Amino acid sequence: MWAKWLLAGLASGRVTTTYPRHRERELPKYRVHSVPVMNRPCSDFGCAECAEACPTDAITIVQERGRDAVRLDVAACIACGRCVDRCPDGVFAWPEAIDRAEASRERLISTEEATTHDG
Amino acid sequence: MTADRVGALADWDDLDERGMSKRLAGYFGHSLHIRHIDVGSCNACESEVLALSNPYYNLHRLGLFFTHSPRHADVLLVTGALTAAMAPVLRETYDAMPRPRLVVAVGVCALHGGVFANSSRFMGPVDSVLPVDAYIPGCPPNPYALLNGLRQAILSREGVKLK
Repeated sequence: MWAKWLLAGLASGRVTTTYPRHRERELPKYRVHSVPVMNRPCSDFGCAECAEACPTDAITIVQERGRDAVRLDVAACIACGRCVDRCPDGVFAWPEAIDRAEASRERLISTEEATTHDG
Repeated sequence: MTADRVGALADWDDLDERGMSKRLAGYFGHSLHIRHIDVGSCNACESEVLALSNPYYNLHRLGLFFTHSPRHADVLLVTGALTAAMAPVLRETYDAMPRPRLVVAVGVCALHGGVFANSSRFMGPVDSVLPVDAYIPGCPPNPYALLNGLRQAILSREGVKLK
């Protein structure tokens, strides 16, 4: 009886995650997501589709150094994914790292300045 | 790594199971005890916090343990939107903890308020009441994010010596 359990245990190997050590190997196994990130600058800040879609006002259009910019505060983001679906530019994306945590409040806020198509 | 992969991943070699214990040894005596307090949560964050102690995530291998008394705790793990009724309780819990003490805010409700931000009974984010060492966004954050948040909190105390 015990031999059966011993062999089963040896066959399954280590089940516990090795997370903090092998982060790159552990995380891509999961197709879950946490909070979105901004991966490219917005080209048309007049559309404001993302700010309208956001249910908790995590996304706002702000003035940054005299220019319009998209501000994403992930502290308010409930990861509903409406910005990812509705942005025609693809500004928002699900990041690969699902373990986001920051040591300061400021690092949760990202601001992307708007650019025009002609540069 | 291809171009369409967003949010780069890189291995950390600074923190494995033995490394964590070595770091903790300097200022927390080899292990870290966590007191979890729910100040008005919907229990989604609790579900993820509970998952940390199952055999899969197994946070005990890192020298992290849950405790039931704030007097035994090094870390205060705060989940939920801070309600008027729980604000004095949170303060008392924090005051009962021995120094050095860390505060980790978990989830959108503790960080900002999220969907409860406009409620009349919401007293504001946790960092308006207590000094917060690590912020974990997500609704709810997954257990990996919780482990990362605890890691950030521990690393923030590097070089701080006990008197």
